[in-house]
Amino acid sequence: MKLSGVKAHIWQRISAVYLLFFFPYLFWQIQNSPITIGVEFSSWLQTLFTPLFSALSFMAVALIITHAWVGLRDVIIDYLPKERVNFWLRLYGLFLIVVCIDLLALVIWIFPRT
Amino acid sequence: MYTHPGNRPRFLSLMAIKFPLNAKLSAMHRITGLMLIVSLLGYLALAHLIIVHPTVTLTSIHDHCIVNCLNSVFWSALTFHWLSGLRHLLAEHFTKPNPYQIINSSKVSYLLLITWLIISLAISYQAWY
Repeated sequence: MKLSGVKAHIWQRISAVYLLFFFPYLFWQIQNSPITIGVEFSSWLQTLFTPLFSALSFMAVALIITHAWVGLRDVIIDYLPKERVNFWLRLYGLFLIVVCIDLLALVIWIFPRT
Repeated sequence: MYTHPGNRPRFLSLMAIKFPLNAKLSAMHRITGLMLIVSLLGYLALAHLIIVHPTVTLTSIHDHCIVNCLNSVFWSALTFHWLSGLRHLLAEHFTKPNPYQIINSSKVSYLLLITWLIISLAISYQAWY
């Protein structure tokens, strides 16, 4: 696959606009779901993740991964010497895949229990 | 995969280069982006710890210094990244000379820094007290 700067930039902007609105909403949602003494992790998550927030968060996670890939990809391409670029790009791609799998595992593990 | 041009100039003595304020803010945007990825790992590790470890609960770690530190770093880095990202988006949208010059002016840069400092102080206060 050939990496394209234009496509990456467009995705970077699309994700940036979405996350620009999502993060203030995340902050507001967290402020409205305070951690009280003795509360279980699963019940706190249940309070936090309303159906609307869950749908928007799912979209946000996908776009955060996209944004993070393009962002650090640019940093790697800009600063690393020629012979190390492809190795670090592959390693970083693998790292993001592992993060995605881990997040999915967490969702599958936590939500059937709530 | 990416094809490196291989003929870039190399001058690594960063202390010898005098960067303008906007270049420093742009570098900070990248650094805070990296900090956000590291924070994401921290939150993932924390979630695993709560699930796997029987004695670690949400209440027991609620006021722990590592969690407070993680929260402060995450929200401060996010605030900076958000503010400078908003500025990048505006600069890419308003490309006519007048608005572009205003967006990239040093006044806006200082306004961004002051806003970030005030919000970061509020975040740290809320996280630790």
